[in-house]
Amino acid sequence: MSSRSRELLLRWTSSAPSPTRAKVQRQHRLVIAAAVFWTMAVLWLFRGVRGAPRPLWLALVTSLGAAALAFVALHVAGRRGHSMLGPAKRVLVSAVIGVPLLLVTWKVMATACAHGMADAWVGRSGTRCMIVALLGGAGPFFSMLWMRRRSVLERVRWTGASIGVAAGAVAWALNELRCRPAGVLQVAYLPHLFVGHLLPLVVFIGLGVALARWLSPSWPIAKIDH
Amino acid sequence: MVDRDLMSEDERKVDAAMERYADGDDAAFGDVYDALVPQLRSFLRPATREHAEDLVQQTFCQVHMARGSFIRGARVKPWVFAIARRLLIDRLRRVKHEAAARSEQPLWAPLRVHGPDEALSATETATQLRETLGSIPAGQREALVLLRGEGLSVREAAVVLGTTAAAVKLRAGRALQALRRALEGGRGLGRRKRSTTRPRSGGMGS
Repeated sequence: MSSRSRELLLRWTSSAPSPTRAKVQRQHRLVIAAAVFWTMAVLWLFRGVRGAPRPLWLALVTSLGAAALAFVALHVAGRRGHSMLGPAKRVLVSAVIGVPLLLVTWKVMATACAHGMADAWVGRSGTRCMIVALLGGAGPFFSMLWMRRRSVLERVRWTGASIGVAAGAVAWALNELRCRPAGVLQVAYLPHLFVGHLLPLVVFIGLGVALARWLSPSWPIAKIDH
Repeated sequence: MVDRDLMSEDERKVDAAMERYADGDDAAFGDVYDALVPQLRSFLRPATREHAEDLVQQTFCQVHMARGSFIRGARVKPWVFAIARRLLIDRLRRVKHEAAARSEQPLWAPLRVHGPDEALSATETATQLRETLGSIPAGQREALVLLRGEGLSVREAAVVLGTTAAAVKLRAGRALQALRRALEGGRGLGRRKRSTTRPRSGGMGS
């Protein structure tokens, strides 16, 4: 049976070619480029980078902080490690819980140092920021999901959630570059922050968990008779 | 990180074959298959003799389809065992559901071997070991088989099983205790009792 099984399997593999590493890497580079282009296009569509009336230091501190956290989240979500089974559960859980908390904390604490920027302004609902975040994060989200499709064997839902966090953090960083209403200062008004910045991140986490099934390999791959 | 100096020649060869295969050398797939099939069979058979061969095939189908995502410099053995383990879990779950639906025998029904008065032979001991191995919790069995049977390090087994190194040691220790109890008295897991000569305690061997 053993040699027969071997023969059948080898025959099947030659009839069902799979992509080589070089081909997969080319595909991944293209997908990453497309995601970056998409995100930049969304930023450009919504008037690009806008600093004033924020002080330059505040715009820099909040943007760089968000970018650093987005980088960490992307690293956790994209990393498969030497085992190729993805990060440990505690790493994924830390990223999923920690990154949103740190983003909010960083934004609020940094802005608290600038006078008047967290004051109430009832006209700022955060709808525009939410749309920008959902659109801007969609590129990274679906590209990461596509690149890791059918590869995750363990902790699938947490991996999906970490992909959502990474996409949400990228969207948050994107909003940091442009979020300011014309002529007013309240860039960290909390209800606006929650609706326009945090809610999209939570949406991406939920989507990541919901679509996590796509990350799992499908069984059986083929039916080979013995 | 893997200490390549501690790897055996066979492991280095299979890793190199997988590298070639991932890079597009289709002929290297046979080398990967030949090197890992016996170990996969011995990993899968204690859990399901009936489905082991099919699971081996499905594991290699997955390896084939995912070769492009094999990370350069990674070790193939823990990866392949993780795939096999996931397949095994899925299959057992499905079989269990089907059995429950049909109200059939439980999945882990013991094998029938020999009469109670038969003298203990090496074959019988092996059978008893297999039975015991098949009846202990899956996590314990997998830890023991990966560590003692397949020669994976504690860390690699932890990766395959998706748990910590300490948990792997604990599970393997408990599995060994269960085997020892079965060999000493045949009472450990509420299994068939042996009425005559009892073997001395001993490890699993390899």
